[in-house]
Amino acid sequence: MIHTIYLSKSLQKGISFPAMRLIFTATFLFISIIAFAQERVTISGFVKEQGSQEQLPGVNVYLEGTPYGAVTNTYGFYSLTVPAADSATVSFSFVGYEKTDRRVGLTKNRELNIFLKTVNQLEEVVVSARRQEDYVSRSVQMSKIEIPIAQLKKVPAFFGEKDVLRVLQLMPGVQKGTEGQTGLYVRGGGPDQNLIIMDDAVVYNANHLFGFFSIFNSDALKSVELTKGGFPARYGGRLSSVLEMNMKEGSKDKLHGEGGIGLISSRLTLEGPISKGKSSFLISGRRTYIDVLASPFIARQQRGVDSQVKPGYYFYDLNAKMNYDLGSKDKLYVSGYFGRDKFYAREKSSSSETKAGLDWGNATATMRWNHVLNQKLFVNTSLIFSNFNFGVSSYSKDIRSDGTTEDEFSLDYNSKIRDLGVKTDFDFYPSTRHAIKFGAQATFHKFIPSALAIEGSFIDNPIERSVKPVNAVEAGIYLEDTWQASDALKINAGLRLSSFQTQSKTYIRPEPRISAALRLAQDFSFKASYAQMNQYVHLLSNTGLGLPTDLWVPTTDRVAPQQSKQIAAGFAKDLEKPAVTLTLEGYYKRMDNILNYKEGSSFLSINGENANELSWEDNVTAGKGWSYGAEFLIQKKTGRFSGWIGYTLSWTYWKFPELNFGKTFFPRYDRRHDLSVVGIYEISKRITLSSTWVYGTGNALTLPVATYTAVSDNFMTRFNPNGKPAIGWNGPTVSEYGQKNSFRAEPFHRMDFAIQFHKNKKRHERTWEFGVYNAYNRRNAFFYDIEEETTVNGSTTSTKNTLKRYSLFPVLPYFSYNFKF
Amino acid sequence: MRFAYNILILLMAGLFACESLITDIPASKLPKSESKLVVQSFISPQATRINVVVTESVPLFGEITSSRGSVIRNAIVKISDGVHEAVIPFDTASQLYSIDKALFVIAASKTYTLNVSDGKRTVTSSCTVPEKQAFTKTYVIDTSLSRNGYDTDTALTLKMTWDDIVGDINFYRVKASVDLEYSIPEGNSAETFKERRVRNRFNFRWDETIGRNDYQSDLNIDGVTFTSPVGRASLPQVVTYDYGNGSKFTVYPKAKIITVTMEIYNTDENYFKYNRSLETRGSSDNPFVEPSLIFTNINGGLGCFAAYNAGQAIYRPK
Repeated sequence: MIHTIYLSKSLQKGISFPAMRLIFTATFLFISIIAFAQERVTISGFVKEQGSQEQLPGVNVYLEGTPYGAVTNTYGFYSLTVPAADSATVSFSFVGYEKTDRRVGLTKNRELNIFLKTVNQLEEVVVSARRQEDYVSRSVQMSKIEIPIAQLKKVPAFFGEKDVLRVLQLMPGVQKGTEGQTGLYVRGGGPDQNLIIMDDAVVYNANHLFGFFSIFNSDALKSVELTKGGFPARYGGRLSSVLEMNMKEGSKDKLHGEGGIGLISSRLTLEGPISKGKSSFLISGRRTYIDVLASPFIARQQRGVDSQVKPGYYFYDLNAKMNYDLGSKDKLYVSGYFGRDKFYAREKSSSSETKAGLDWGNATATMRWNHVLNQKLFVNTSLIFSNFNFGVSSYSKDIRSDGTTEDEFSLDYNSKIRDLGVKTDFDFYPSTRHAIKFGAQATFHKFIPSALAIEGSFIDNPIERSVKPVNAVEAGIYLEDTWQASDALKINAGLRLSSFQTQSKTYIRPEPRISAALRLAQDFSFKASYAQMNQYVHLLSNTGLGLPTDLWVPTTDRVAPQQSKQIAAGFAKDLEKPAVTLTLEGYYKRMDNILNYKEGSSFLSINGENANELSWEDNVTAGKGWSYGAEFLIQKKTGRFSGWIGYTLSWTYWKFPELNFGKTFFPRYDRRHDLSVVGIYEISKRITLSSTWVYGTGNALTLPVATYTAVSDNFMTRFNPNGKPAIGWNGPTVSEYGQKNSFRAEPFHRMDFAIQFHKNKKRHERTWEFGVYNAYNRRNAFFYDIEEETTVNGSTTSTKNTLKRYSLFPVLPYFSYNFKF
Repeated sequence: MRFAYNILILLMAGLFACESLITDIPASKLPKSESKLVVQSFISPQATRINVVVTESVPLFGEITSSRGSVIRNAIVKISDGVHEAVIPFDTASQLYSIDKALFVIAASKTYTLNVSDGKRTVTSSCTVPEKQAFTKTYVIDTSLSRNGYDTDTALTLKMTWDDIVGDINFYRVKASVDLEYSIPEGNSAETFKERRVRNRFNFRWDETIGRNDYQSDLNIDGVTFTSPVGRASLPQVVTYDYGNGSKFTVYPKAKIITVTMEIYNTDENYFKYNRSLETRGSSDNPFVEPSLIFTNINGGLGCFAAYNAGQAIYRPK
């Protein structure tokens, strides 16, 4: 058997991991069962973009007129094993690229590298018929969303900042939280339950400016994929979704650039060859300039005032990537992301000086090595680094009239998480009916949940406290097979074994995964899936906003991992004319051991002597949740008119013994209806129009309905002036809230609109974009507040409480200038 | 390009047209609620009286009038242990319903039912007095000096331990007070100022940290020895009167501890949940922080009817 040779060859390469060996044995046994009657040949190679030589993932490769097909992996590699024949036509197709056919002889194994040409959407209209490409009904994967970057750039954007997460929020099953926020709520899960990976590195905090922008610069991205359910075994570590993003590699033919100037920020991306055809680079940066623009106005306003305040805020992102071709079998990629947010305020007067700052940021770095072991076995090994830190600092000084310092006070608070990881993934293509993936991963986490230092000239004992760093190892091994069981049935079955080691406890959890697609008719299939997921790191948030104060904490001896079980089933239908895809899915998800702050707890408690006895573990409580719903999507990815309509009907419930006195309640972001309509229309080669409309049920909030005096047990005996004892009592005025989150905010809806003008100049292509956010000025609720209002009517005054809705964004026009060369 | 600029100008005009971002919610969309009876009573075999406070809640939306939400004086308040029943009369001086323990006995392990009606509304609740008592095992009484930049202050500190009652789920609350004898100035002019010794009782306040509280439970840690948080009672300060002519009259309190009373309440779950919810309700105005709900076990109303069994230890310096 030819396959055994390949396996033992790879074993000889020195992979002696005991776990690995187990996988190999399993794979071997599995493969041995498959009998081969016919002689077979293998065609393999890479699919790249013509010109830039960017490797293309997700390209469909198939033999014309046969059921044999394959899909390129993340690195553009494919392998197809078919019965030997004199010759056959191999077709390559991918959205946005011209379909390419090659006539090849099938008498012996061969390598075939293909370059695909990008197509102009308008020219495509002439061709009109839908080409053989990304048929959702043919893939076994369900609950998956892909956003073509080209489409992302045409959709109207908040302040003109094209944001991947915001576009994902327009998809069914994915919801936004509060107005303007980029957090993703996938099938009843929170934003912390999304595994966000960029070039294999986990990103912990995807927010800029308190969640109004995400950290992903779309110019640097090649692909974006979000999986909501039916997770393949290669992913693990979060409950609700996997958001996988890959950065572009950088063009290998010549220097290209792309950039833009907007209201909030400017950005520039440069990519090009280092050594032609062999290696290339990409560097992309973005920075906001509200602080720079505002500072002259702030200075002018404070002219002649003793106390000078300098507030400011900015964020920046930097993406960089380099790759090397080390021959036809080996490739090396080094990529990194570095981004920071910084808030600062300085106040200086003749008698005092105050400085305060808040800053947070992520840094990730990945080194990846691709190796083609043989035509059927591809391996990638990654070394991964990820770091997130958050800091608060405050300093104040009182100055005497003679200029000397009277007293000083300083506070520094830090919270940090750092990961070092290693990961190996194998793609094995034993036959046309099987595509096997297996691999292992280990991540070394270091958590410093909080470190606090306070000193001051009037503080006798400076406080320097840091919660002991927690070191933990998270590991996983997996095996999955995509199996074409019959012409109509395709199955992806897999198992992931995940583990997490704390100081004295090791959690080991098997995670079975299965999904299947059954073809019912031409381009019409039924799909079903089941997936179990475990999450070993938790995010504690007491605001629900994407604030950096949200704290990442590990699973510990006391705090068990979060777990989810999800079943999903649905239909997928592809139509030729018009070229649209329809999907309808239903899901049921159960979440266990989800964590929340206890009522009234907060991240920073620095009260009194007992501060060091505090631990976040005392402040959290575990509960369970369940969510179910139905999602409908009709999508047209290509053509002059493209876009989608997505609708979600869902219910989410939580039950925590220590919240709402143990009774079931709706979490804040439970959403009954969620509808998005996105349309992009290419009027001509030069003008693109686009618009989005969203509607969602209001958030579930807790609102007071009445007040009363609460008596704590202080019935005290007091002496009246006349000496007769009496009992006194008093207490705070408290609110009655009814059930937790029993008030529904008003529904949310909004329309955005954009128009783009493209023009090819001598050396570059430029695009002017004008747009409006919230076109009909809907005042959506950001929060509610109760205020007392007094009205005077003649001689009588009456007071009453009113409920006020605070909105954040009225109609907001924007424009931006973008260029590309 | 001209077209593009025209659009830009239009967009800018739109920006200035935006109105206020704060909107009143019309009355028809406000959450509805009615005034409810609020009943609050904590019973204990050690207490000399059974006290019940009866008030009513005030719906938040709508006219605020001063008469609403005050003490209900005409209610019929009945307590029963299943065999005996007593009507608790209203005490005008204290503005609550009160009865002496001689007229109705509260005993450990027994379940009591409270029924309150003001004619229009009737509410009921019941609770069971915990069977056992817990007593202070060890204690440390000390003093601490605190300086806040302007003033110095001496406080008495107290820390105690007690053993958990093994087996059942327990909820505890610690309480302590100190009876002090000290000097105060008396008189109303320079000539008549003189020192006088007085006695007074001061309660210890407990450091409010969430991890260790004056309310603690043995959930998952049955049988441990509990430690109280640090309790503080400020000692009387030095009082100085400045006559303005250079002479001063200073009284040093010369405080002397008569007794320190330390109590461990073994409470029922209602007591614990209600008081904890009052403590954690927070005073934050941050609209993003989830408010914490106030516990109630009054059927049809609000408030709490709860029980505790107190164990007392008294320290008397020789």
